[in-house]
Amino acid sequence: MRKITRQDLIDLAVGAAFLGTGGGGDPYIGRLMVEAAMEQGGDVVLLDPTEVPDDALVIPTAMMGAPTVLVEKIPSGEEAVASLRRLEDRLGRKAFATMPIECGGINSTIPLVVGAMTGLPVVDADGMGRAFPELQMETFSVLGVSGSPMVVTNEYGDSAMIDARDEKFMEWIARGVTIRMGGAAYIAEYSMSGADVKRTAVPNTISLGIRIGRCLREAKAGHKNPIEALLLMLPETLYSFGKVIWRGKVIDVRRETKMGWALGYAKIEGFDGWKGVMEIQIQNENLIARVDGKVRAIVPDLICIMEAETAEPITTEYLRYGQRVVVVSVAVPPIMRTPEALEVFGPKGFRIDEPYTPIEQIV
Amino acid sequence: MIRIGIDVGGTHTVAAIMEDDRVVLSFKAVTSTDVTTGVTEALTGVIEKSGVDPKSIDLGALGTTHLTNAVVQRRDLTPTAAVRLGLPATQALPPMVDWPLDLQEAIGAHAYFAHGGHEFDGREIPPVNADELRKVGKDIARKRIRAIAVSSVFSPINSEDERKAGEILAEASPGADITLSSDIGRIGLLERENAGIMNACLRDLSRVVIDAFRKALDASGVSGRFFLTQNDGTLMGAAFAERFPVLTFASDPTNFIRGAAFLSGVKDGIVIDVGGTTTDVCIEGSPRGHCRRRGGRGANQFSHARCVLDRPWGRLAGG
Repeated sequence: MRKITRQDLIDLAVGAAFLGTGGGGDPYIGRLMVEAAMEQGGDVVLLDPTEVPDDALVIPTAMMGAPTVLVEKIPSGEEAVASLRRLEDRLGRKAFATMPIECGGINSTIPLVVGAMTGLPVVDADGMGRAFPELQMETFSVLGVSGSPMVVTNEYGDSAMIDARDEKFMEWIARGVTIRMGGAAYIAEYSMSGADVKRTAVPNTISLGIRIGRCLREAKAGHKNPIEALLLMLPETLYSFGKVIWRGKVIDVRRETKMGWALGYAKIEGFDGWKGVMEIQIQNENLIARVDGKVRAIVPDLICIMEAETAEPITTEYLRYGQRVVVVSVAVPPIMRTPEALEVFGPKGFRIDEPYTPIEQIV
Repeated sequence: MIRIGIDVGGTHTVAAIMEDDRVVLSFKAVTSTDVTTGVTEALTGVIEKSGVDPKSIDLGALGTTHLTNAVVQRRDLTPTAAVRLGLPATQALPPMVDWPLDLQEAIGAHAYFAHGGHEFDGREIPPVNADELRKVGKDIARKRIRAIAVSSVFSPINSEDERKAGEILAEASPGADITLSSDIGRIGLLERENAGIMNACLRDLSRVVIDAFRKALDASGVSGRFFLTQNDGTLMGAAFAERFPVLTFASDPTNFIRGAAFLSGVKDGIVIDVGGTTTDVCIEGSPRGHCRRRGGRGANQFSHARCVLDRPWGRLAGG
């Protein structure tokens, strides 16, 4: 158990942007929201999954929608708590804790806001191990935890409670509701027991985000290469392998908000000895990186675009022509690479007609 | 074509005359607090020494850090009200939420929420409420705040609500300088709002600076057109600059990159400007320069212009 500090939040914003692989929304806004909630007197307490009693009720909370909407229509602040309370009413039980469904991007912080506003502790784990665009893309679902019932609430307090036959259909309906609500809404879903948290979650991913941010910051302060420092640190975690897969200049970015997603691609012309053009396909997050048609990294492994000098992870909405970048790919934990998991959030889950090859095996 | 370029820095005011692509002469004076004196001195100095007939000068271009420095040093900033249209959304993060405290205090943390704004597809959120905005305008007038920055959710997609609000506020608060965020910034509410507030609080000072420049040109007998440099390496007319002073931010690094590239013929290099108030280090290489500034403290913002800097200037400034 530990109390989150302001420095942790700053580090988490960077680390969560890294784990967000281009998507997940700008954690900057999430960080400001947690700080604002903390300033009102709320503490944020992070719990290790092992500290959650087996029979306790955990209700994860999150934001859903296009990251491009979030930077404009900032929340009122009440939405996610409202969703949690409605779900508690439905279940007839109070929550012991909340938890992220996604440790990449802004959803690393929404549960922290809920925690600060309600006094609930936050479990240090999530179901994506990174950021993904769709609600069924959770280790929770892969391992048998139901996403329904789920609640979606907007800034007016309008809400919808969804009971769906499976998580894919839950995603389909919830996305429709979210689009009607203006492209961004706040949810409570995948309520589960402490036992299920231990069985199905990717553990310690919030503290991983904090650790990544801290590693980059300390390397820069010590005038060391931050990306090298990060790649040295990662093998100490469940993300056991990482490497630089490209260096270059962004020469083309295409992005449109469609059906609730930020869809598009980025083209990066290699320099510093990297010859050719890397094309990265994006559906909120960076999904697949190819050079001359050859796959260099593929989902669910992380593909992160980082600013070449500052090592700042660049989210999709901030990609610009002319940016000089380094592209890094990182292996995701084994729980995310099982055949069942790959069906849901490997290339097949994104209708990408390429086999999954773990990054450590791609030459 | 004969052009005169003037750089009003924190410490020195320098004027240079060019005939087509040839630098004729430059002259350095000390920047005065009233701006005019220093500019006149630099102008008359360079004109006399070069022997150029002031009436033959076609164009004058002024680059100045005066406005940037006002923000850096928290002085000569007009108290400003930020009015944000987006209720019931956006309340989690009020205007100026991430600003340094002393900068908030320098312009007064006057923030107002109102209904309005649009969804990402242009649909109206709730309509603008004229009564609500009139009350806001009257409160602003009562507090004797003369600069107002209006921002609205998704205003780069649909600026109707900002314009309507601007009109209502202008009526309720006669004489106030009103900046609409959609005239300056792009997508990113907080950054665009910041740019609008920065712009609003500088309009008084920008009129002083531009007026000083006009007087100095008249006093030196120069009658050509005059412009100010903006931060994408291009020029803007004086009337435009008076409305959008925030566009002069970071024009000094772009100016010295262009100047250094021209004078040295170097296309890829590092340019260091050791100024009296700040030191800037830039990497020059087409098509975008890239900058770091030390010695400034500001608020995050993006600029509307096709910015030569590929980072928002504020995040550079000690952020």
